[in-house]
Amino acid sequence: MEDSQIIELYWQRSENAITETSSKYGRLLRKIAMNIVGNFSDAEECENDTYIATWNAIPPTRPNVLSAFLGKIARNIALNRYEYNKAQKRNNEFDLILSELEECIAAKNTVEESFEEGVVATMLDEFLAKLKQETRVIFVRRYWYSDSVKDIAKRMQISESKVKTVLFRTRKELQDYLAERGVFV
Amino acid sequence: MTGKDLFREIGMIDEKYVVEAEEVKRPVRFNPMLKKSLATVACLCICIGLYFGVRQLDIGVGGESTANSTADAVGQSAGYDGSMAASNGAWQESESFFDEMSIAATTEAYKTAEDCEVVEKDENSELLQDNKQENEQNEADSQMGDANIAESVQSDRTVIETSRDFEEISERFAGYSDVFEPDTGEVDVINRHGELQPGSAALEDFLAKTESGADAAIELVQFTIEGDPIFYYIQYNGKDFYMVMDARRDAFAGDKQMEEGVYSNLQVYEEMLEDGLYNVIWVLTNQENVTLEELEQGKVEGFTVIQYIQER
Repeated sequence: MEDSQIIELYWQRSENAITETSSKYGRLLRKIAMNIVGNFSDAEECENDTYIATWNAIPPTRPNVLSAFLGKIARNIALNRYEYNKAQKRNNEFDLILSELEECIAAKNTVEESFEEGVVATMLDEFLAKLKQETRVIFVRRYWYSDSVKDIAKRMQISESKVKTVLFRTRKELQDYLAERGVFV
Repeated sequence: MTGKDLFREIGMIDEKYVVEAEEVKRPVRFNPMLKKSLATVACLCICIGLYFGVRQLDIGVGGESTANSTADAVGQSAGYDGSMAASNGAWQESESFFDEMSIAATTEAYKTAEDCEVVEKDENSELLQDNKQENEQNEADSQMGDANIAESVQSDRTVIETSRDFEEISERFAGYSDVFEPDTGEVDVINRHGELQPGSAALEDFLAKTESGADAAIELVQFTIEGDPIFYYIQYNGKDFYMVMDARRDAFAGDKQMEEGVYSNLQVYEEMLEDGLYNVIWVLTNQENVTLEELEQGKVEGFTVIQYIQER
């Protein structure tokens, strides 16, 4: 079923909307959640919570790209779940992703600045626009989809060491980019 | 701003980049090195074929020029000498002196070569005999060596496979290094953030033994994000599973530095993440047919031993 038809089902408040969403995007959502929370049970819960959140969000929202919309919701729900579970269960792979992102934020300067939500996202859009496609895809797969280095290497048909090198250099560039714009830890 | 905040901000980037990352996927390439190596192998095969072909032709040409009978050209040395003498006599009647000389020379050379071949064959057969004896001796020695090694390994594993001595196991873990390589032999399996070294064979072997009711034991080490090792020892005695976990080197272990327990079941959960990729979880528990959900909700007590990604 096309995305526009699925969105229409939500607007019509038809329960088939969830079934169709699950059928088309269930696997993607589980994978995104699994990459963050690290266990099957929590990932499944996150997936179900995503459907509920989507049901509540549409309407009034009419997303342009349903997969990205759902992925964003799943990502945030999974992150919240990860924080909740952190004391008992640790997902080593996702911990690594967060520690890598810590590197992107330069040490505190003299002035503390707080940013409205989404402002940094705009900076990130500008940053990503300057990157080569391969570099951008690797970056987004790592830090949006939370894929492992091995998965990215397999997807892009390159070596794992190349993926690590690309990520390392891009993080360094991002750190400089954000520091120029006053974003510090 | 923390890493987590940045992670959330990344979640709000333009959807076109998210879609692009989902759509871009390179097909499996035929390894260019493989192409080159295939071409090299093909050339080698042709060269070898040509070499043997030419050798066959040379031998064939030499035989036809000196013997009338094909059987005589390949036959016994006594019979061959006789036919050669007859051929020489026949050729001496030819018109061209040069032809006679060249053919006689060829005959002589061929005869010499034939003699050499016979001698070589004899020598080769002696060598083969020697080699055969040497191989048999080596095999016997190797079997003896393997038996000795197997015996010593067997005796070590026998000790490990029946041990439920908490102090002994704790002491052994305390003596292991911090840095592990797959072939140091200190543990059976190393789990680096879901990736197993040297692979899942030891785990599968352990499962197979327990399913057959045999005594079995396995030692593994898993690393935290900070790189601290956590050791696990699981031993099965035909009835239940004994487990020791040593997290003394985990900076974030808190109160749970050493754990010991006996469980009636080992449950292995598998979830397919995508084609050929599975998430595998081992859980020790005292109840049967427990779902992962029940474990996670705390309805049943269990101990998660290992979680890894497996490619099939």
